[in-house]
Amino acid sequence: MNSTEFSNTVVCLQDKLFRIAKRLLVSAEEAQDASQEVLSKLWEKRAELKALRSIEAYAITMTKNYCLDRLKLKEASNLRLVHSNYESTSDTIQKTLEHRDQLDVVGEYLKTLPAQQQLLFQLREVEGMEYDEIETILDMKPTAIRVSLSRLRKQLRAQLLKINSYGIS
Amino acid sequence: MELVKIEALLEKYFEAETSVKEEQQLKQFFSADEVPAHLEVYRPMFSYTVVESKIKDQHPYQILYKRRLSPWMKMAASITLIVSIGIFAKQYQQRKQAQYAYEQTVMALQLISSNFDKAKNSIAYLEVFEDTTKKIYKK
Repeated sequence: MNSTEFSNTVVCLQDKLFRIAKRLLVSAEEAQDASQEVLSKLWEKRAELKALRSIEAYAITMTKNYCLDRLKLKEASNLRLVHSNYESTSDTIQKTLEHRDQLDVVGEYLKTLPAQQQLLFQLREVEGMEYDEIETILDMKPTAIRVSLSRLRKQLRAQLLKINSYGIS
Repeated sequence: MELVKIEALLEKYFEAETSVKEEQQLKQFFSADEVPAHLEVYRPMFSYTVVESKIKDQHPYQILYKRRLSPWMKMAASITLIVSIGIFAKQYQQRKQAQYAYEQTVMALQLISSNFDKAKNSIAYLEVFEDTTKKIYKK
């Protein structure tokens, strides 16, 4: 694979990989590091890419693994920090509740979910990917994906209904 | 799109039975300025995903090439190297020869001057001889 082919098939995925990394890592700088790292690894492996069934699924899986490693590293290095992060998000939920900025409510609510569910949300709701692609990336069974996604959507709805009723009263 | 259809789609949506295309229709519906009041609650769910899908990485990836010399460049570089070593060696040899010639000359001149000194010392005795002869003749 030469550089033009690589640009057309892999580098064009950069924004998507960045968004997925940002979903998990939150910080834009860290997400940038993730997308750069994944793309340079793919460039080194460019000779093997043509044999893959889906370069996109492969790239997203690499991004996922990179991010999960980063998160594990953080958790191991400072457990308390993660805990305080968690507390601060619930704090901001309170704040946004007052401001009634509902887009932030959605974002903050998603941060409280486990990584796998955040990824599921990102791949289906934001990137609009088909279930069979999501299956390979998340290594989940089709039924598990549907059950999980349905629950996620309903939870999100409940959250919005709750905040809306606060807003009215 | 008709409201009844949207409501039916929403129901399917929460059971995760909608297709990507149908979810796209829902997103489009909730992107409109006006949404029926009883559906307004759902708007953030869809507008959030639309906003999130437009985020872009601010640092476009640049391919890093490892520099590789062409065979011709390699040949040119090695020829230049050999030629410059040759020139340097020749210059070094010439300088060595010049140094040797200089040292030989210096040695020869030193030999001459030391012999000259010896001769001068011998002449000093001649002066003493002259003085004594003068003394004798005066008397």
